[in-house]
Amino acid sequence: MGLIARVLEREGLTTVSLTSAIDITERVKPPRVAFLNFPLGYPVGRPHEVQEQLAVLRAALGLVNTVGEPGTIVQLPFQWPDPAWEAETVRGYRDEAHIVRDTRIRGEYDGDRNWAMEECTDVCSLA
Amino acid sequence: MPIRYAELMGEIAGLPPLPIAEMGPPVLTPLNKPLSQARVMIVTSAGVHLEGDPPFQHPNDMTYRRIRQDTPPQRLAPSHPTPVRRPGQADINVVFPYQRLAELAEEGFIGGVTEYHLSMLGSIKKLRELVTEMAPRMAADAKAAGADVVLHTPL
Repeated sequence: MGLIARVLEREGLTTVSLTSAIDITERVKPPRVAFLNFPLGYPVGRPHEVQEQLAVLRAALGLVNTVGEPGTIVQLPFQWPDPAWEAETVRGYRDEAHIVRDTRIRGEYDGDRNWAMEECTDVCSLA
Repeated sequence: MPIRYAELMGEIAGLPPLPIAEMGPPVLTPLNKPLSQARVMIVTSAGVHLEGDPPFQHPNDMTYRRIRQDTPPQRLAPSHPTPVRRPGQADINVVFPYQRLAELAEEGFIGGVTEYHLSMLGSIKKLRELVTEMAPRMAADAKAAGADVVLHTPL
């Protein structure tokens, strides 16, 4: 998603990227980022929480007026209601480690060759 | 502390961290009009598709689809293959906030909403094709729709 934002911005569009995966976003460096520290799957807020969704969108879109430095990441001032959510999320991934491993090997490797990593290296000069 | 997904997915799988491109500084295009006069388009990687259409293919579906602003919400669904799609199934605005954008246009916070938005399915690993072919096509399509600002919503 961040790579698309970079291309769109280069083509003359103004973009704002919502993210909840800060480490990935820090590497890809989209032009303007609103970081919402929520579980993955809730990029604009929780279902049917209309006022929360509107507040997230106002804060994110407002970055077009305030960001002057390319690649700026602004953390939005919203908190997930359950403070234990991060620990629980990590535990959930650990419980399904075999699925993560199988999915990654299927999606990134061709035999021993990590072709997905090769794509990462090559794309740096393209976007 | 925010979760660092790339390292976590490496550690628990016994593999290197997720393959994520380490990019240089991006280009920044300032908005040349007030936000209250700007037309906003959503570009989502939630694989939002119309009821009755096939879901996007996972992984590496190099297509995108236009989703019209006047589509009823009950006709829209995300097509991500993992449980992260569930909040978007409960309320499509979580991943595709087109009804919220209409409300922001109504109150004058933004100038308007494009007639259609763009949807694709994320987790694409074919990054060269993504940035040299697919993303330039999406940029042309966004400009054709009269978009001033593009809001990216990931899944």
